[in-house]
Amino acid sequence: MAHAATVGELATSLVRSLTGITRDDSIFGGLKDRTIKGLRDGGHGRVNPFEIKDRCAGLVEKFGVLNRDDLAEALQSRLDSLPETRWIPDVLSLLLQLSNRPLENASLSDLDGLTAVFSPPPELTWEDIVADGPLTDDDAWGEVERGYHSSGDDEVFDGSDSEPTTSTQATSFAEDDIAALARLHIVKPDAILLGDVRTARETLSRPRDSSDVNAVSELILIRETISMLRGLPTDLFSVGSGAVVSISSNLCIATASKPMLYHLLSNFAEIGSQLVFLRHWTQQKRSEAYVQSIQAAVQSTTGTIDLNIGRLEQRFIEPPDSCVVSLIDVRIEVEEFTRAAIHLSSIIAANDRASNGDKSSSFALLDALYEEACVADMAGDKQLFNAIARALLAGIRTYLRPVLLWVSSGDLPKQGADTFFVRPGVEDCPLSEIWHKRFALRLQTGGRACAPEVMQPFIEQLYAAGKEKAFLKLNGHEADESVVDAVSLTARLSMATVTERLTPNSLMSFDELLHELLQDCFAGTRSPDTTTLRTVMLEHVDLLRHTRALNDVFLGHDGMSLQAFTGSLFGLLQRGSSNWHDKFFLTRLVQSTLGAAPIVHGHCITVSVLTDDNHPARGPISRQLARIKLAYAVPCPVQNVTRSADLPTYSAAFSLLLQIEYAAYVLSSQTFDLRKLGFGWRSAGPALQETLSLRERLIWFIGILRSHYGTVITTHADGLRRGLEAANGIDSMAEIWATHDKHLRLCLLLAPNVAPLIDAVKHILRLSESLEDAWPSLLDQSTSLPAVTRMAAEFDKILAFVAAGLRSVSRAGGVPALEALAERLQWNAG
Amino acid sequence: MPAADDSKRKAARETIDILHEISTLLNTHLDRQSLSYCVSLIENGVNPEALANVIKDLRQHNPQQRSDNGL
Repeated sequence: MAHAATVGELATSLVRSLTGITRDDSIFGGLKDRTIKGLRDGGHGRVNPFEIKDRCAGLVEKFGVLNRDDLAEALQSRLDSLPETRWIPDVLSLLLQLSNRPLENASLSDLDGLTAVFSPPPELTWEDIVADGPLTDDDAWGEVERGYHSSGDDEVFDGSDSEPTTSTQATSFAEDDIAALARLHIVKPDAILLGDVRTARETLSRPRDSSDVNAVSELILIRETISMLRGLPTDLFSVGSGAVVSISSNLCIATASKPMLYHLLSNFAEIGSQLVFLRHWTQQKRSEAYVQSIQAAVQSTTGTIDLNIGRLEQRFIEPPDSCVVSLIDVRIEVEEFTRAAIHLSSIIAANDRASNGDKSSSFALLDALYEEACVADMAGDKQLFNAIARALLAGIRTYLRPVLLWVSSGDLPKQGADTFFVRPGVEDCPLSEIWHKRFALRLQTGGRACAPEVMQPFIEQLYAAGKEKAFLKLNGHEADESVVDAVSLTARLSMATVTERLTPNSLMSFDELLHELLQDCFAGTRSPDTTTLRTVMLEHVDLLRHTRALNDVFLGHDGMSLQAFTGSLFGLLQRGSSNWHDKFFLTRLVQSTLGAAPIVHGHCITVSVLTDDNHPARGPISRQLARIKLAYAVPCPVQNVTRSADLPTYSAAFSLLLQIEYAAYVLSSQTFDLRKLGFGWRSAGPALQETLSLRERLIWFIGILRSHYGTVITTHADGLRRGLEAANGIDSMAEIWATHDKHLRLCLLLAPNVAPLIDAVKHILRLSESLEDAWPSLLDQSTSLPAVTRMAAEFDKILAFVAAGLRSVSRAGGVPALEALAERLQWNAG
Repeated sequence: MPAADDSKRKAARETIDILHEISTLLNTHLDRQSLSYCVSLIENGVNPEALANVIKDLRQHNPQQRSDNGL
């Protein structure tokens, strides 16, 4: 009965659900009865679960065949999710009978509408509370006894059996869900797997001298080797003093003999020793900046090795399907990718042993890397070349920064100054000596500049370039103020550039390419509008004008101004004026005569009169003239070219010029005016005739001297001008000036090696003065012929001596001017 | 044992949910409530074929159902 009632109730609900007809409807009763009767119909067979299962599988297959894989997958997944209960096949049978063309009408989107949307319960409002019961009681709003709500009365929460939480910060989620989620992702290590590793460690930990020989697998040896190569501590290898790796265990393997095994492990130990040394070296603190750069480059090489070791290790951690565990294979592979680093390590170790604090080998490491890079390039070993060249270029880039600072600004670097190739010279030298004394090259033992070998061809060029900047700055001709970006200039000294240039051009050597790159780098320090020293010297300082001015002042280039000066001076001397040697008077006289030329700065001329044992205050006028010392103040930059403020050659030439002019002045003076004679020339006595003959010869001699003087000065002035215009720096200008000065000195017979000749010439010039002094007595014929004859003979003798001396000097020194002078003296002699 | 009843009810709900999804995929036009009644009837021994005939008969008396069935 209960069963029937249940079925009846369910039938009633089913009718209402399917038809929507309620109990109140008149047809409801009939429908219900018919439904119950239909449900009790026992004329149907029992459901075969296997048949239902087959039908469902067939339906899934049908969906798949008819290209409704979505339905097939959805249906299959639901069928698989159904629990295995007794009534499921019956329910599925019902659904299959009620199915209505699902292929055409069903869609997965229909399932989305089945999920019931969660609707939170309606919020409790005051209306609801008041509707429940109005709060009108007097004690509803009374004071609440606080003690009733004491936390001590609350049930104590015992958390001992609660599940631990994973976070101490409360979230909106339940804590146990997060803890459970976390536990799902925690992987506990398998202790069994670690057991093998612990056993292997114990085996390897036994010392080598132990009598127990322990067998290990090749995989364990490979693991230990890889760890050792990484620089990690291992049980198989130990690192001793000097970064030497040795084998510390006594063991064997099943696949190789003991000697072979130890030979193999020794190979690894050698490789490991080199790598350990390299890693230690990169960690050393070094003061030289370029060494630090090399350390960084080497560190990147060891980093690459670590990556390769990692890839090797990965092969054993996640082995592919066919992975051969072979120590020999590992050795071959390790040797291949560590070859370059080992060579680098040997270079650095050899350099450390050789230098060991030796100051003369400041750049020995750079030199060694440079040499090895060139050798590797010539040998075609690209791997080795790349490793060494990378380290070399890193060091050169850093080394070049202070060099480029020097070249662009003339400032010495503050750091590493004691190994820089330029050192400060005389700190407080005058401006006239800045170029030659302010800086100096720092030389190593052997006379080479203190710089790497690769920089030696550029040292002179760099030294001059930096000095030029410093010179301009110190002389107030500030050069280009733009700061040179050393980083961008040296950026081309990279492996990318080297590879790009060498790859298509197999005939170019690395050495040649490096020189080209360095040349480009140094050329980049100059911009097209950079003011050069040559421009400053020729245009701003006006070097050529000053050198031409020297000719006018000292060498009598302008004959009229010279005559104006000498005329005034000689007149004073002959009148016996006591003020002639007043330096202020003489200075005024020179400035107004010799200094009046347009190219001469008259205010720069000063005159002094020497008074010492070599220059007595009394004596023949020609000797007195030698006391006059002329000085012309050339600017300090010009003095860096002339190397002297006094210009001794020009001073000596001026002194000789004065004596020549005086001799000419004396011989052509009114003293020898023959119209004063009371008788004719043919009536003159032999002494007078001889005297006049001697005078003519003296005049001739002086004329030749003057002609020679003028020719030499003009020729040398032209040569000096051309040389200075073509010179590109102060060094070449100074060299040209020195050559000019030396040649001038020789041609004017002022050199020390021709002192006898100039003395002889001066003796002849003094004969003029003697002749003038003797003329009055010759006129009254009180002077005898032998006296005059002696003077003439003296002249001839000295002249012959001078001519012969000139000829020998010209032949020895190859001076055409002296040769010409000698010939002229010999042609017209006598 | 409330916890066991809860789990049973939860399992029953999940089973009904899955059957309802299968019913939707097969386009049976059974809503969840009707399906629940059908499952209950089957659990009480009603033959599925007889039940299917009853449902088809009852649908004749529901204009809405008749239009969904294409009648």
